[in-house]
Amino acid sequence: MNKTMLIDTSKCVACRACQTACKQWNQLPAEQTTFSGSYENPPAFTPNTWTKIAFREHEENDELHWYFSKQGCMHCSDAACMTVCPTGAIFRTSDGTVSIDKKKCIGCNYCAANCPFEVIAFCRTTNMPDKCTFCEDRVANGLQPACASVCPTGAIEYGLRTKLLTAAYDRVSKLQAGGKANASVYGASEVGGTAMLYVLEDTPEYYGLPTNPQVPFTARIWGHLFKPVRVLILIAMAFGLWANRKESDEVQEAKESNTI
Amino acid sequence: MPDFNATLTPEENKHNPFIMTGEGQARLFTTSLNDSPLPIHYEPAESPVGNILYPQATYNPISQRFYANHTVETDKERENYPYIMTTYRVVEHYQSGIMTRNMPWLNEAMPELFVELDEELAQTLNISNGDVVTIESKRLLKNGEQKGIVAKACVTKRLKPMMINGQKKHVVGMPFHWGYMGMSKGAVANDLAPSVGDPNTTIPEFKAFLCNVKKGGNIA
Ligand code: SF4
Repeated sequence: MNKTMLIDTSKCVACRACQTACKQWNQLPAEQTTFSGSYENPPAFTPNTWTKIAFREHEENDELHWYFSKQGCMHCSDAACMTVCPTGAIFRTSDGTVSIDKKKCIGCNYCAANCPFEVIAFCRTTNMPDKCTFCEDRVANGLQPACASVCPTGAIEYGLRTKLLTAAYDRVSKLQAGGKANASVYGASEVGGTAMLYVLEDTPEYYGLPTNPQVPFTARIWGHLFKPVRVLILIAMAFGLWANRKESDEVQEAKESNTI
Repeated sequence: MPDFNATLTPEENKHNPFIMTGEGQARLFTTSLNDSPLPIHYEPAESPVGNILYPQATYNPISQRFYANHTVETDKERENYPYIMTTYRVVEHYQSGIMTRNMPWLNEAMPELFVELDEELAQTLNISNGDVVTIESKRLLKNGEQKGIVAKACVTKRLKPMMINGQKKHVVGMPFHWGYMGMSKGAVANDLAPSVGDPNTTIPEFKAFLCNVKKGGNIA
């Protein structure tokens, strides 16, 4: 994984320029939403919403925090979606990010069901999963991802992982020195390290991020035990069908001979 | 206003920093302004409490008025409008929203008019997040009939009840970007606000006034 985005939540002002820029570049239409009690909108990831700002209020010792974090596909090194995808439609790009090749997708929904961050949206109409592409098309042409290019506060930085990891740890030690004792880097080692690195001012759960994200155990069994022998399973299935067909021929014959 | 004069060194500037006056000095008296020059404290034109600094003058006596019987002034009336309202903006919309409320991506992020309430007040009024509520003020009391505007409730930890002159008061807040036209329509928050102008600039007192909040209402 060489290309990374560093999301410094301590700098995010929740302007949602990133959320909108994502829709603009990727030509994703707006959704019909309602105000349901939070500034966070749309309420969930959908095939038309690949990134959004999570708003969380947290109060501790009479101190109130309003935590903002830009969330979306984390592009994990140990990606559950890639592990479970039976057709190899989910693949790793040369930049180390995770992409979906929709031509190979059979619409089984395994990826969305197993994502530890619940950021893959599955469309029931087209039977296709959708998620952040890390702006492959822009990155391949030497541009930054759309979200990183618009952030007015520098909360989203795009660049080489080694450089951004150092920057992230520097920032965390500054935050800790400033009194944010629980500040941490998120994504450095979670699920093998993610291409989305976060600087958090507090515990991940206060941002709505899983504290210890894991590839589901069943996904591992499926991915590592059954997927490699899927050709054998297919042959066995074909044989089974063929055998049953033969049987039914026999039954047919028996029936015919009876009627004569 | 004291400021840096671009043509002077900081050392020279130090003795005459008031760049808006010819001589560079502050003026304590002026003939050109209605109200000036030293800041003092008045309560808003509509306030839940009196002015402890000048008990004789709760609000600015030379504020500009346009209508008679426009603001809440007696304790009896205050009982009908027990909450303090403040209005503000959201980042997704601009002013009355006539440009931004016709932009689908912005409407998606900030779809409807809302009113923010502290948790204690919401509990007292039995209001939960996303409920429809009606907000009333004296401006919408016409011919003895009290009308109100409707908005969605946003129950938040960000607002807290305040102790003002020994009384517990609740502040509620709402953005003012909505109107009756456009892709996303909503009530006009400034229908609630008083038309009282600042003595010098006529800037209206839209940021602090009294209101009442009730559960229920019809979103048009
Ligand atoms: S553009 Fe930057 S500051 Fe604005 S919401 Fe996104 S991350 Fe936060």
